[in-house]
Amino acid sequence: MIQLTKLTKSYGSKEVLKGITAAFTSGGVYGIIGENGAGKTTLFRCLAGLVIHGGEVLAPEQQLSHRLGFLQTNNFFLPKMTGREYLRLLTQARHLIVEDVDARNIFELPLEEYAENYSTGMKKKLALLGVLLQENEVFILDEPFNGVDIQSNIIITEVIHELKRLGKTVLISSHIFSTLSATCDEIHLLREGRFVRSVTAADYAGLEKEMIDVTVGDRVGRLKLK
Amino acid sequence: MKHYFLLQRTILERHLHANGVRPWVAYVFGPVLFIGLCLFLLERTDYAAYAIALFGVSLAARLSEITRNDFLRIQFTPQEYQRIRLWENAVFTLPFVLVLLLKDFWALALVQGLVGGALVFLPINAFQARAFPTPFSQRPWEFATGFRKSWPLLLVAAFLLTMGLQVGNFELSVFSTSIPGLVAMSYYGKPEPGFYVRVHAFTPRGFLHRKLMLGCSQLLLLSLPFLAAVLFFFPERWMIVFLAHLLIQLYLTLMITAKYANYPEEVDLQHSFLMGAGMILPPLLLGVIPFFYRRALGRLLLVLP
Repeated sequence: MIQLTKLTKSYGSKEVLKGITAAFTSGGVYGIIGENGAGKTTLFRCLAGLVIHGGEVLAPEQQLSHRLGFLQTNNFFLPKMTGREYLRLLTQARHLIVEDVDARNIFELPLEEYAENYSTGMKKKLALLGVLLQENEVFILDEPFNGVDIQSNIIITEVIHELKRLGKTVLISSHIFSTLSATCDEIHLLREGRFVRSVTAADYAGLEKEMIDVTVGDRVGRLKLK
Repeated sequence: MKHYFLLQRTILERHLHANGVRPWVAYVFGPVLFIGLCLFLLERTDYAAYAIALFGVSLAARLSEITRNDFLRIQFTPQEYQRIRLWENAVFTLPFVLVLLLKDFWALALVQGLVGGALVFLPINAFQARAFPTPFSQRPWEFATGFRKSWPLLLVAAFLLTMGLQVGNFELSVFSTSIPGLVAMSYYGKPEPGFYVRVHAFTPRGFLHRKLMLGCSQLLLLSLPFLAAVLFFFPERWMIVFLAHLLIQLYLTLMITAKYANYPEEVDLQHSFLMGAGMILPPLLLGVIPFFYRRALGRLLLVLP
């Protein structure tokens, strides 16, 4: 289990996270939704230990960073590195030797080509494959469905179901509500640095409608489209 | 067009400032160093002219990279684009042409000039569908990616080695065996993004030892053909060959420890001077390397808990 207690993060005078308290259990899939700039990526970066933050992140067992796989929104690939070498680097970094990479290349990526030349969706899939091959216990997936084709979306959804079945902890953010409702046990709404609402599957439809009403409001009317 | 070149100068000066170098120092001493180095190499062997010409062409070729040229084509009219490219290639090619003319390599200077000019009209597609093969793929990443960028320099080293062996010049041959090591040092020149360090489930000491072990073993692999060739032709001088390689391994160790002693920043000017002192006076390495090693552990402790 991962316990967050009054997690805060500021960049200069700008407060991004204002005291987040939550618990994420093994075998649970948790969605984080919110507007652009709400603090989703910052929250993930705090959990992944990439930034210094206030409050506490408790994970009682082995060092969290050694068993956490973080799929970032934008993944950087070193120049002149092939997809295969990227996967080797990630697995060797976790003391793993993976011999059957080709068999486990479920997205059929061209692993002999330079990763920097992949399309946006291919880069996302390569980075996701990397964190999956690391045999992590905790997964933070920041916009895993972004830029990915529909077939791969289906595969990723099934992968998340399998991770849940294996008792992993998964945190996902997405701007596509349907992808979260299809995979998550619980969705947290992040607004202005705080979890303002947390709903389970039974309340997803209501949350989505509320979000549409609040987000859209009269904006389309104000456009005065002709 | 004028604005473009002014912007390029501004960017260049930002790079210089970021590395602690005042622009006027680079403008004054850069050409002096360049000419001095070329003349030094040309004094050692005439074949250095080919290496110098090749290096000049490779620099001009980098300006022909297709995505860069596509960007320029979009922003400028066709006439402005061609003028920009001609000026750029002239700036990069002319120094090499002048040095070659200075030493009476007329034909080579002419070829250099013509190739430099032709490259304006021949964009090079840097998008390679298939990766350049490398023997370092099994243990990524510095040597795997660095080899792909630097193989022309390794060809130059092989060329110099061949010349040295042909004329029976032991000093040139041994120097050639050091070039892979000097090139390999550049693989550790820039700090990698934090992700590529944090992803490691290692202690700081374990991470640093792994980097050192991989670096040194892969350098040995890279240098092996060169060492084997020199030992074949000069077997009685194996001790010097061994010591030269040992020294280059220490230089690589110096580079790796210095890199992580400054991580995630680049190596600062003070540490660069320390490195330079260690390379010029190798006994200093006995103190400099442990200094960087200890600092590196401290820096990595902030990144790898």
